[in-house]
Amino acid sequence: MELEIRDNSLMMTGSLLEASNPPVSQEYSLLVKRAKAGDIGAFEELMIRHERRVFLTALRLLGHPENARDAAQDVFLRFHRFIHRVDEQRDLAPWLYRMTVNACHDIHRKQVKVNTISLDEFQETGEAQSMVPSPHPDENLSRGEEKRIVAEALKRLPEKERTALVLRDIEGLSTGEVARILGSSEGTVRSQVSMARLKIKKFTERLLRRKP
Amino acid sequence: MNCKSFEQLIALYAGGDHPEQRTREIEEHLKECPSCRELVEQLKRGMITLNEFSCESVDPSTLQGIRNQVLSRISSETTRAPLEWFRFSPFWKWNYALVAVLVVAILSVALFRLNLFKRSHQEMATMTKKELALPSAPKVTPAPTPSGEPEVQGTQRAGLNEGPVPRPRSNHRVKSGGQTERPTQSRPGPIVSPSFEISQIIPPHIEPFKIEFPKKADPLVVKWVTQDPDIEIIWLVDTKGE
Repeated sequence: MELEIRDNSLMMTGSLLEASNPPVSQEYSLLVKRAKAGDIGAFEELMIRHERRVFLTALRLLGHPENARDAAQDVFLRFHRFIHRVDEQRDLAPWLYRMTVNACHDIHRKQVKVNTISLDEFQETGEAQSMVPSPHPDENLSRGEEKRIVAEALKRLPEKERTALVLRDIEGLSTGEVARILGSSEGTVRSQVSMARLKIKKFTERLLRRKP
Repeated sequence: MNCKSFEQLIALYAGGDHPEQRTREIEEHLKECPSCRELVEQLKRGMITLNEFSCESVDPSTLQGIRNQVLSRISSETTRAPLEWFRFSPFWKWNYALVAVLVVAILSVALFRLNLFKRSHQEMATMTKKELALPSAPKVTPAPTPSGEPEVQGTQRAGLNEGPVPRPRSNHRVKSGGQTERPTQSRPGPIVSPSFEISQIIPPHIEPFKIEFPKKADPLVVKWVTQDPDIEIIWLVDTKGE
């Protein structure tokens, strides 16, 4: 039931997304047309073109590869189910982003509340202690460790802020595009993105300054 | 300028999210504020790290696994039983509603037709009862003949003894010359089938009845006797003198 409602809301905003989507090449639109006509080969080709982006977005939104795999499967199954509503003259990416966000939201709700500890609470626990890489992190912190800390901070952001930040800073979409995908205003997205950036910066800073 | 309240604007500035005018204002501030410059640097560093996530490599087997799963689900969905399609289709609610409407429509039609059937039977039964409740034909003593046998008046139509003979539609009296006369209202009639027309079974070249009326006051008795027990005997009695 919930799924259906969310899919309907997706369709309502679909026209807005399509209006902003850039036009695509003739070859791409032909591929979508074939997939709409039931050509499984064409559908598989579309999956190959978009699967990496969908999987990585889901991975950043959910923070776990298994969940990201489930979300990506869900996205492409929904895509196949609603492919008849797709405009073949427009890029599918915003549409798929929207479905990815919805699928991740559904999975996130079903998860055990493991990610609900806020960044501030997390820093008070012993778990934060184990993430401190070295006694003098400013000098010795490798890029891999920094990425691990930022990924952890990302996981602990509130869902809406995390979604906005992933789409804006990781996927590199404009604020307007993010607003259209999320169905909110540009002002709201700006606020969410700025808050998320500051929280990640503070989380990283506190961890790195913590003495062992 | 209060730098603490300025943090959100700096965070947006680091990502290039401000319009040109606001960007210039912030840059003016950054020239004078080393702590905000440091904040910008830290934010940009975090953003670079975030941006690196988009360049992460993904194990091809993972993507292949996703693709295989999706394709197998799609193929199983297209070949699954109609009932499953009914349950799992995106319009399952409408499917159930449609089935409910169809069931109600079928039941309504069936009940309507059953009611009609019952009513027509009741009407038939009532009509039959009415006709059966009519007084039986009065006994008329035939005029004695010289031989002592009652005389059968009228003629028995040849050819009607073979097979079941339907009853005439009404108790029209037959006048001489083949013309019929509608009886009076109070006159009881024989049991008739509502859809029966005597003219339907009598070929046009055969006159339906040929009755010889008595000359004067003798009662008219028409006795129609057949050998078939299923065929009823009809008495048509005329009053004396009419």
